[in-house]
Parts: sequence; C-alpha cells; structure tokens
Amino acid sequence: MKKKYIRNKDLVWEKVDNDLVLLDYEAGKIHYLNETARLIWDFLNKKRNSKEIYDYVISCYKGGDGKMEIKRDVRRMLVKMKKLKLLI
Amino acid sequence: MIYFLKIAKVVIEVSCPDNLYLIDDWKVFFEEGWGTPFLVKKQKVDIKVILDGYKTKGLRTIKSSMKDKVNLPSMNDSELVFDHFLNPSLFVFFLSKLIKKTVEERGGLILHASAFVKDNRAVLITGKSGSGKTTLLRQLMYFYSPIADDLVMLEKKKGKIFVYTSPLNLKLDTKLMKIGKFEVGAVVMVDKKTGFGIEKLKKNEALILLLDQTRSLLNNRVVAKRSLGYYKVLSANVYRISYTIGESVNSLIEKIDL
Repeated sequence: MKKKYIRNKDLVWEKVDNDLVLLDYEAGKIHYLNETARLIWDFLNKKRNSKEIYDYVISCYKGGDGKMEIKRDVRRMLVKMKKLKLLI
Repeated sequence: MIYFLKIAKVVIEVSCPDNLYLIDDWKVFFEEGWGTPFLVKKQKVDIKVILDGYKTKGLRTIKSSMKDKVNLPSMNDSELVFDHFLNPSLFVFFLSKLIKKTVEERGGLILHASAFVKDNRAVLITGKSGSGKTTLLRQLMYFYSPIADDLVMLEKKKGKIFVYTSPLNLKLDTKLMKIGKFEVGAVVMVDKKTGFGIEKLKKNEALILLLDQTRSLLNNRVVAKRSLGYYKVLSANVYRISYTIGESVNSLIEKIDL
C-alpha cells in the first residue's frame, strides 16, 4: 500500500496573499512555504498518497514545467516537508 | 500611593511609583475596555496560593532577571513578608503580568513594543531587546504623544487592530501620555545597525520579522494562532527604521503613511 501523507495538525498557519506561513510553536520554528509546498499543504487537508499529490500539483501547473520536473520537485518537497515535520 | 494588586486569589499591598501620574484615570479606562478590575480593595490573603503554582513561577522570573535587587519573600511564623513589593519596578512587573493575563483571557494580545500617536493613529515600535524602542520613543515624545512603552495591549475588531494606552514604564514621563484606544496605522521596526533611513517592508517579510521577534512568547496553540491573526493585519504597513542616537529621527517618522 502506498504511503499516505497529511498536514501536521499541531502547526498553526496563516495565508498571506499567495504565500503561507506556518508556525511550529512547540519547536519555536517559523516556516515560509513556496508555491509548490503551499499547493501540497492545501491539498493535504486529508490523507493522500504520493500519486494523488503528483496528479494534483501537475493539474495546477497547466502548460508550465514538464511533468517529470514537477514530479521531481514534488518528491523532493515531500521529503523535506516530512523531515521538517510539516507533514506526518 | 498604595495600591492592592490581586494576583491569582491573593491581594498584595504595593506602592505605586510616583511617576505613574496617570494610573488612576488609566485604571478606569482599562477596566472599561477589559472588564475585571485588578486593582482592588484589601481582601483576605491566601498564602497557600502564593507559595505554589502561578506565583512561585513569577518569583523565579524576578529572581533571575533582577538578581540582587530582589529579596524573595520570607516566612515569619505563618506570615509571609513582602518587603520587596515596595520596589517600584516590581509594581510595574506585577501589574504587567496581571494586564497580560486579563487581556489574553479576553482575546487580546500583548506585545513587547512601544507606541505613540501620529495623526490620531497608533504607531507601534518593535524590535529585538536592546534595539532602542524606548530610546526612540523618548526622542519622539515631545512631538508625538506616547501611549505605551515595553508593553502594548492590542485588540482586534472587525479586521482592525487597536492599542490601549498602558502607562507602565518608569523610564518615561507619563504626564506626556495620552489615554485612549487608537487604531494601529503602522508598525516601525528599529534597526540601529544600518545607517540612517526608512523603508517599507513587503508584507511577507514583515510577518516573518514580527513572528521572529516574538517566537519565544508563542508557546501555546491559542496565543500562536491569535498572534498570527494579529500579525497578518499589522504586517500590511510595516517600516524598518535605521538611525543612531542624536540623528533627527523625526524626519523619518514623517515619511510614514498611515
């Protein structure tokens, strides 16, 4: 079964214009999400697997970067967000 | 002037510093806005509450931050002796703690900042500890009425942020202060290291800086979430100001759009 991801609900967050600021108040850390990370965060309000995440992000970049490049970006971002405990 | 401060269930006799001229008027003003009175008539003192929990924490904080200036209360038979409460700094210290508790319980927010009034709008002065918030306020206080120093009480209503006057700093002449509730028009971040000038910050940069300056205070979910909501509004009009003491900072303040 494919691994599923979801937002870490212990974080507080606020949208500022098109950006997203996350606050990990327990660790005293502030995270500022770029566009791809913000799309992933928005999408992970419920558990989703990596394929669902790739498909969603690709659908948001119609006519933009190549699919393979987006997939690589998303994969990197998922690893990073998991490491930073933004996702569980 | 002697007051009685109510801390948890305990009422303690304290002397009010002589330079807090506004304290009587301000007390009425504060209680109208935030409810529960915290300066009260003498009541029974419950020593048990003082000795554990909330108060013990407070005393430890004082001990570490004020070092040898403070004598911790001593036990005399069953009576607790509070000689050190006559210290004016401690009056302000405890009053600040009470204000923070009262304001936060009612959905407000306390910021470590100063504030003055320009064109009937409040301008907050923020910055790291030692960055010169009070120094800047003192340079400006004969041109713009100060309304708070060190501790700023904020209230969010219908997407706007308001500041309540808090005349609680011993370094400031409170005769110059204006009592009232003022909508925040701008925030100034003091940076003494980089020359002389003023620049408006982008909203996201301002939000990160506001969070960064206060991250140690955002230690629970309620305050963290609330702070983000307040900072989101405040970050719309934030300026970074650089100057050294002695330079005419008024010319920079005039450039702030409210």
